Amino acid sequence: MTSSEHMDVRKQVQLSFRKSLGFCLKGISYRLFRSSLTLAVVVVAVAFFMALLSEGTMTRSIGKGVAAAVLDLREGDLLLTHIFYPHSTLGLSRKLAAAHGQPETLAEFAQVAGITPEAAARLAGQCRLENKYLSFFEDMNIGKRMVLVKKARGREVFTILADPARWDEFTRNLANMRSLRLPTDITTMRAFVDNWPNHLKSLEAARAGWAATVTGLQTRLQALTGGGDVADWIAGARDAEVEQWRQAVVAAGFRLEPVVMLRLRHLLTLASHETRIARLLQSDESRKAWKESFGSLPSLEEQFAQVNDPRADSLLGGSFTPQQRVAVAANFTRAQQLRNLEDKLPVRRTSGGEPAGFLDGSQLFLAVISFIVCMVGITNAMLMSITERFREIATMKCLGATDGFILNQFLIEAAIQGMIGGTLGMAIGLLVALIKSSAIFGVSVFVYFPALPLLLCAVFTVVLGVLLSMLASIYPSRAAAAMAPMDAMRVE
Amino acid sequence: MPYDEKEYAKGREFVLRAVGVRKLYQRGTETVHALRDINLCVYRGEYMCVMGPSGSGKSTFFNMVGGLDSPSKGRVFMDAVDMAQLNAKELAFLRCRKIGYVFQSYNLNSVMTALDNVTLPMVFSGMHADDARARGMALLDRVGLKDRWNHRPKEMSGGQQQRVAIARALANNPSLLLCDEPTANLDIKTGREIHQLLYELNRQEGVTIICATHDYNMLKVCDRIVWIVDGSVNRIELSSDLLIEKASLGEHDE
Repeated sequence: MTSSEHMDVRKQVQLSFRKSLGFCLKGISYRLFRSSLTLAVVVVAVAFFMALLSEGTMTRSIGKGVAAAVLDLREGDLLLTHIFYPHSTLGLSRKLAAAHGQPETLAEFAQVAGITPEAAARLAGQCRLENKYLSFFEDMNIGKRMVLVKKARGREVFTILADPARWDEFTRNLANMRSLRLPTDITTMRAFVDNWPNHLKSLEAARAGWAATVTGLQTRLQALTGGGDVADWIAGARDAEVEQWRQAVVAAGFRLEPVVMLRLRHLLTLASHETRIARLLQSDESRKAWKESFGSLPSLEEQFAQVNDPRADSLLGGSFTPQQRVAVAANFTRAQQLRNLEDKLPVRRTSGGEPAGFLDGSQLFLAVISFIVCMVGITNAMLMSITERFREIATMKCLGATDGFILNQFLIEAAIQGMIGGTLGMAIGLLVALIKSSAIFGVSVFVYFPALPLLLCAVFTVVLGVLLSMLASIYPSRAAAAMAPMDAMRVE
Repeated sequence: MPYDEKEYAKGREFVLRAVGVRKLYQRGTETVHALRDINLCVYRGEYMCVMGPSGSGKSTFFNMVGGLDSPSKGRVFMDAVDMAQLNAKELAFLRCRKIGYVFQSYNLNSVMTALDNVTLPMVFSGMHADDARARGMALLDRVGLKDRWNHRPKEMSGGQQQRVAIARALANNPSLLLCDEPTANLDIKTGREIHQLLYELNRQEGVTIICATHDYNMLKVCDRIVWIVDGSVNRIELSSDLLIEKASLGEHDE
């Protein structure tokens, strides 16, 4: 360098992320012990959170599965109720409100009730409004209700509000109650109230139409079945007879596809067999006979679970094939299992019948506390690591490391620790939750295994671990970056 | 023959110039004058020793000229650049390429090999990895540790570690080598080897060296000695004069 050469001072170069990462990894691999302490903190916090989260997820999945299975078992009953149950106008209104926006169900209703599909759709719309208003008044507290509609109950409110003076009072009071929100706008409600007598009339007409069709259907079916129990008749009927039965139902306007009929037949047959077996087992002679051949007399439930035993055959008078007995026993056992599971499931439901959120209050509180402890732990460990390495950091700054580089080093280190700790913690938490859940629910955990939601939980917790770790090391990293390079000169 | 600055400066160009550098510290309510108006030029290719008792302001002076701290008053010029005017990134640039630091306690990165330590400043300067490796090996060869490139600081003696540190300081071919008591942690024999190395670097490669020391052995190899007492330059002597004095006193270095 000659004197004429002007010294050129520029900004220090910025190192690439790849280089920074490599540098950091090298450091971590030689400070495994210190790193593992920080790691342990992350692992514990994340494991705790993951255990809470995945246990909740599994319980919810089992709950959903059980609910669906129970509905499945009751499908036969539900179908029969749908066809034969005579509705009140209120019941019909609920049914129609639920069917709103489902053209197939509405078409079926129109057919059975003898009205046009358009009229059915219109009626369903009105029914939906009716139910919304009814539950609006049901859900509010009694004081507000007294102010708004006095002592009117249920559908009475619509007749009361038809009076213009009462309506004015109602709207005035409603405007003062800021916390109340009408499910629709006020004009829609006014129109509904005006239309109320007409609505009730057409609802009544539809109900009468439905009831007439069902009565007609029942007479026709009775001619076919001889007036006995439907389930018993179907259990013993031939294919052609069952088909006749189905045709009659379809002719009345109901939807009943052959596939559904097959399922209905299966379920009703099972139900019929169950009733007959129960009746047979309860008689005195058979109880005695059971005791003789089995050596003991258990409860009816346990007897049911054993009807697939060959010894039970003669007790039942040989009137059931082995397959039938096996099916009854299996069905019974399954129903029992579902009941058991339902008992074990936490009753945690909000007013709407919807399952509660991801974590309940106390669990959330625990999770937040664990995070705070984790953050304090990481911050402390990081600060100690910086104090230990002050000379190294200061030396690096003497050798040309920028503040940004130092900051990056510590943040990258934190992210790596968060990732490894998060993954480990996630695995441990999942394992703990699995062990705990399977101790409570047994194999059902794997029957209703919520693979996808658990995967989401896993990803979420690992990301959380990384974020947590990085968040906790922002302060220590900044402290490291702000360290004075002259500290490198210091001698203890 | 007393030291004459004008005589000495003849034909030399300065690398570093401190003009009226003053540094005050506030310690509680009392103000400490660490440096009082220091004026000093460091010339290219010279080997300057800074001597002085502990607490004399030597370290503070080093921090000023090393771009690690800024003076309360006065200026420090590196060639023509006023270091007080530089921002953090420019200072990092300066520290990376223009100044080499050798510390009393070596300050090698304990997790890295000798070669990695030497190439560290080159990494910071953005040099290509292959070039850095080649230059790092050449520097290790120069300090006589070529065959130990893959050893970590723990596996090396103090003298060897200081050699690695010197190689690291030279990584980006700096204008100035700042040594802060480089032999204080070493025994006499090893210390002398380090002196020899610094001397060779100065004479053969023309490296400009400023060296703070308590070690009188070092005075032999340097050009000028600056005595700092109580925050100001007490006197400047030429090494050749000092040696004559010492010889005349009958003090003989073994």
